[in-house]
Amino acid sequence: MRNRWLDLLLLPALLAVVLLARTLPARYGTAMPQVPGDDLLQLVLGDARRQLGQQMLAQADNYYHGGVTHADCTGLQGHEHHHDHEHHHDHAHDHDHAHGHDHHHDADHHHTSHDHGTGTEASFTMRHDPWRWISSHVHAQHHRHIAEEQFGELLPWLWAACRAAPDDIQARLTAAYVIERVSGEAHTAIRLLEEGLEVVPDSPELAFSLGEMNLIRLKDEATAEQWFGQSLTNSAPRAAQGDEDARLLTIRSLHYLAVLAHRRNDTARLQELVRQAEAEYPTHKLTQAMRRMLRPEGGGSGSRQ
Amino acid sequence: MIVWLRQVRALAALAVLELYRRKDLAVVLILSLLILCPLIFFTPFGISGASRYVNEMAMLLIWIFSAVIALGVSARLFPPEFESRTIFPLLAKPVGRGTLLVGKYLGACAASLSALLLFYLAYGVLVGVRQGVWFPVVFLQALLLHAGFVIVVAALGLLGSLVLTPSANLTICALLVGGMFFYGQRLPALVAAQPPPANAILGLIHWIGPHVEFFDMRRRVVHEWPPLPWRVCGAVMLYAVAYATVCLLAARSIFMRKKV
Repeated sequence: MRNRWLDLLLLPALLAVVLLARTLPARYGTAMPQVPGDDLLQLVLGDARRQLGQQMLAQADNYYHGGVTHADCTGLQGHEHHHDHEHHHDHAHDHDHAHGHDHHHDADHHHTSHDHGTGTEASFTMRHDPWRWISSHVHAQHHRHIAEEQFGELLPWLWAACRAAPDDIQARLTAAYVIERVSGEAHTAIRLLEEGLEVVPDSPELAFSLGEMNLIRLKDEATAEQWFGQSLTNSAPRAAQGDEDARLLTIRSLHYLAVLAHRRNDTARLQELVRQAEAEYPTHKLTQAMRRMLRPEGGGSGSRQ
Repeated sequence: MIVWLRQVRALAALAVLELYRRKDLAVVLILSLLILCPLIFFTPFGISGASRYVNEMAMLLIWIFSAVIALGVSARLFPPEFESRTIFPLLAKPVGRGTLLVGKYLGACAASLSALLLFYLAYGVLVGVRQGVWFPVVFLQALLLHAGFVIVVAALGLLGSLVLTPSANLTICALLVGGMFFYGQRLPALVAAQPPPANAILGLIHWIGPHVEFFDMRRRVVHEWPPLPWRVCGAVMLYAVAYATVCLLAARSIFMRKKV
């Protein structure tokens, strides 16, 4: 009987705990030592989210290479391969590849594969080092890229990368590109980029990509012009500090803006843009192309870059 | 010889029955379903059609669970017999120590391989239904090499169970298998990169460690790489049988000297 009464004492204690948990944050909101997290992932992982996102992106990159990993490329073969590199982004050549090693490829070579597994590794004979010989035959593979119709295989990892690190610009750019290529649905890709811009509002890359997506896929010149303008504004501080990527985005944004001005015969705006480009990048090829647009018979170069 | 075979078969059957009596397999299968079902119906960005990530996850689960089952079964072969002293009536009957060892090892292999077969069958059906590709050659090679992995891990677990306590055996075997699985392929590069004392140790590990990474064909299966040349398959299976034989001979030597 006495035990039962003691058990019942638990109820007011529980009630007091719940009430305190409810009232303390409301009463001393700003004085509380804890800061409320954005979401559960943020709460659990914190800064590790970024690392997790990078891993997901690297996994997408492995899938793009048909499952061939860095260990296959560098650990075993011990060779470097330099190709000019436009994998996921035939439209965005200012774009770093998902994996950050020195690994460049020539132009657009989807559906291609070239030899990775027969370099140094193949020179190991069964007699020399049998374990290495077996390993090289089981794991090493030709360097390859998946076919474009299989790009959808990258999406789960890109989705995970965007979810794990919402501020990862690279993940969003790659995901937007792949979504657009796989489904032909530019609106989904644009929504993803816009969500990214809400998280990282000063990103010139996202704004530039939005501009391209609106111009090339949706043919919406007015919206595209707004995004290229924002890209120009966003890239200015980084370009002033000598960031080469930002400088490239600046001149490319200027060029796109010049093309759009040229299309609607806005000579004053075109002249202003050319002046701006000449001041910053006098010898750049895009500046020369913009100059040609000013000539009465010119302008052919500016229709689509 | 016939008597010996009967004894071995009886001992092996006991190990298989033990696995199915403990319901480990059912737990593992339910866990796999719980993990895989949400993944199967997942459509990233509202776009369906991706399948490799499900295959990869399924293969990863198969590898984890097969290693756990092989290690668990083989590590439990002798310690309970010693603890409950049931080893005495076993050895009092006309069953030699060598026969007991071989029978129990074959039982562990049979139990683990039956579980493995079940996993691969489920995986094959999953891929067949989703992608319309039914048991390609590379899949059968992956099953064969995975069986080699089970043979090696069961032999390691059995050897460890005769010299270590059960928990130490499981921990060390798991570390050894996991370490070789992740770093075995990179060992030659690591040997070349290290200064003298470390490179000798790594070199030794490279030569005598269990190269379980040889048996890993997950990427070939998931990313639809071409099948392995059969001579390489043969070499890997030869390695598995040789490594398991060495472990069993060492286990026999220890068991013969063991005072029970």
